[in-house]
Amino acid sequence: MALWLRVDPRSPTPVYQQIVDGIKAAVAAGWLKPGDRLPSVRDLAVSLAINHNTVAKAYQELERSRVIEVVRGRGTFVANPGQRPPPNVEERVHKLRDTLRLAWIEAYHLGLAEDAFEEMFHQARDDARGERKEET
Amino acid sequence: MDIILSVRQLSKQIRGQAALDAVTFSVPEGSVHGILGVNGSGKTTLLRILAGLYWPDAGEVVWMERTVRPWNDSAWRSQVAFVDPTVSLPVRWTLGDWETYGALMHQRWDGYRFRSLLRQLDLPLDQRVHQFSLGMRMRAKLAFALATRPRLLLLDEPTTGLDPVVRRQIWQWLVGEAADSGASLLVATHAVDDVERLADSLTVLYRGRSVWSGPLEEAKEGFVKLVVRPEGRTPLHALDNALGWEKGGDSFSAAVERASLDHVRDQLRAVGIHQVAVQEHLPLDEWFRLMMRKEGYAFDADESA
Repeated sequence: MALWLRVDPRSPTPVYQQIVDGIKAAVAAGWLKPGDRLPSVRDLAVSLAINHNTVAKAYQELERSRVIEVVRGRGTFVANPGQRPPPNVEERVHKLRDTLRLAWIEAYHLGLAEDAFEEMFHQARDDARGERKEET
Repeated sequence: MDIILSVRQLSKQIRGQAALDAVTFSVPEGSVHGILGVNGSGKTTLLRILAGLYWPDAGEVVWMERTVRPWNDSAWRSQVAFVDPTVSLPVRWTLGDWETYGALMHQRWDGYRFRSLLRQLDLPLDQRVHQFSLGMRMRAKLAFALATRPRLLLLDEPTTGLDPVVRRQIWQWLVGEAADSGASLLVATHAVDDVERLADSLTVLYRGRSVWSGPLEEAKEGFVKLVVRPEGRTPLHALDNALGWEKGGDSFSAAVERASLDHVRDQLRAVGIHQVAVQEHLPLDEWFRLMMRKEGYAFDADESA
C-alpha cells in the first residue's frame, strides 16, 4: 500500500508537507485518479511508520486545498478536479508565474538556449506525469 | 488537544546526585511525547517515577487535572504500562505463563488481544522467553504491555539494539496503538529518529533538567543555524556564550531560536561581526547536537578552539 509515497523523517521538510507533496505528485502523475480511495489516516500512518497526527494534518491540508475529499462514513477519496475551484487560486497562479520567471532568469544566466529551456520545461511536465521516456 | 499529563518541578536525588532537577513538561491527550536525552540524562529515572517504582523528592504529577502519586496509587498503576528493556517478567516462563500472570494481575487485561498480538508477531506461546532473541523479547514485552490496555504507555529505549526490520515493526506498532486506542505514549530515547517518526512533541533532558520542551514542528522550524565568520581576532567569547558556538575552520555556528534572531544579530554587530549567514531548516539531529553543545555536552574530534 502507498508504494507511490515516500517520506524521509530526517529531511528538514516537515513530514506532513512531504505527504502533501507526495500525494499531489501521485495525483498529477495519474498514480491516483479522481475517485480513488486513499488509505485511512491510521493505515497510512502505520504503513509509513509515522505518527498518525502528522498524517491527519497532511490530510486536512489536502482537503483544504481540494486535492482530496472526505466523505463521512465512507472514507477519503481523490477529488474531482474542476468540481470546486481550489482556494486562493489567483494568489497561487501569481506565485507560479513568479516561479517560472525566476526559472527563465536562471536559464538565461546558465546560458541555456531558449529552445533547450523549453525542452526542459516539457520534460519536467512529462516527469511529473510519470511519462518519462527511457533514453535508448 | 487537552493536556492529559503534566509533570511539574519533579526532582529526585540518587546517591547524593541530582538524577532529576525540576523536570517540567506536559503531554496532550492521545499524543506521543518523546523524552530525548543522551545517556545518563535522567530519562529512565523519570519513567520509573511515573511507573511508580521510585518516589520523587519533590514535584508533582498531574493526570487528567488530578494530582496523583504513582508510587502509592493502584488506580493509576492499572492505567499505566511500562516497557523497560532492562527488566521483564521471568524469562524462565513461557508466554503462556505471562498470559496467566497478566490475567491475574491486571484489571484491564485483554487476553484476546494478547493472543492476537502474539499471532501477528509469530511468537510461540509455549517456548521459554530466555530462548528468544532480543527483538522477540522486546516484542513480547510490548505485547504484554498493550494487552493491559494502558491509558499511558511508558517506553524506555524501545528500539535500542534492534535490527532495522524489527525497529520499523516496533514503530508501526506504536503508531497503530496510538491511533487506535487513544492512549498517550511517552517514549524515552536517545535515538533522534525514534522521535522524528513517533512524536508529536518532545522534551529534551540533560543532566536531569528539562532544557527544552514543545511540539516537534517547533523544534524543527523554530530554530535556525547561524554561521558567522569573524575577521581577525575572535571576539566571540565576548558574546553571550549561552548559545554554545561551535568552531569549524574559520567560522562559528550555533542554533538560534528564530524569535531571538534579531537580538543575536545586534549582539554580533556590536562586537563587529557583520558577516552572518542564516541557514533555515535545521535537521533535528543537528538541532539536538547543538542543544547539547549549548549545555556543555560535546566531544568533537577536530576542535582545537
